[in-house]
Amino acid sequence: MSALNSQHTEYRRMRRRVRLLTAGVAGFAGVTAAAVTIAIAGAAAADQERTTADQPAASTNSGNGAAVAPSKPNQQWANGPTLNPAPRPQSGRGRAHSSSGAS
Amino acid sequence: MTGSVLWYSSRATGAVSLVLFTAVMVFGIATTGRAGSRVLPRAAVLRLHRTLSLLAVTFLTVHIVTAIVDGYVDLSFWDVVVPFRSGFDPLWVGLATVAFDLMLAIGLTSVLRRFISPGWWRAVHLTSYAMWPLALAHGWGVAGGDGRTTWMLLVDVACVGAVLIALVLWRLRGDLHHDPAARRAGAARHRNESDMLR
Repeated sequence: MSALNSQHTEYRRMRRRVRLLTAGVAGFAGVTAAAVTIAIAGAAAADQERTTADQPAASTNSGNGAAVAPSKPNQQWANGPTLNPAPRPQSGRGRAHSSSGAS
Repeated sequence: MTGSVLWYSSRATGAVSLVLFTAVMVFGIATTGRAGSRVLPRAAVLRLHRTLSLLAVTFLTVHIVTAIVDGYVDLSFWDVVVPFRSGFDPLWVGLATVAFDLMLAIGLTSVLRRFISPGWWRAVHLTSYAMWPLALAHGWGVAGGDGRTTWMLLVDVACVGAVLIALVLWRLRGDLHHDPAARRAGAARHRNESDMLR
């Protein structure tokens, strides 16, 4: 009987340890993921703002200007995906306008 | 900046989702190989596989919803489940759609696991080996994202390396359970599941 009790206690201790470990690792992963998301989004936004400040004329062109994007950009694709075969925007330079895929 | 928050959030959560799904893959492979240690017991490996998959799905949901709600690219909610029909970058978005459909199948069969045969559950779960590379390819190829930036390429390489190492360490070496009897029982169960699928 005492052996059974001992096993049960050991099982409960192990289960609690696994739960704590899992919660700790998953919680850390969640917080890290959220922080990294904010950092990446912030860096992309800062990069875009720099680009817009450096090249104000270029920023009005399609493919380069998130900060000065047209109010209803989807009108460009209203009649099909190939209406605006703009070149693939450079990475980190803002929004995508291309419907023609990566080149 | 404020008008672009959704767009940047979508890009960022996409990158983070890839890393999280890579972790899910690694823990899944470790679970299959019944790998565990004193620090990280097998039960913890399995629980982490499940918990991190929920976290990854959460970030993926944010990635998808922000991309659609932002409205800058031509995407609809149908594009999330019907592949290769989006107005924006149909090939690379379509790959993500296929990956999402596979993820749905994996998730649903896992939730309903007690109602389906273990063989079928395992067969559907094996499609994760297709889902993950499709998601990786989507991130690399889709226009307007960070896929071709140096830091993202480094993340891609790290993710591929992690999965390959996990495959070599835990999957190709077979069952790593320390008890020979448990290894024999596992092999017998695996044979039964394979027979049920025939």
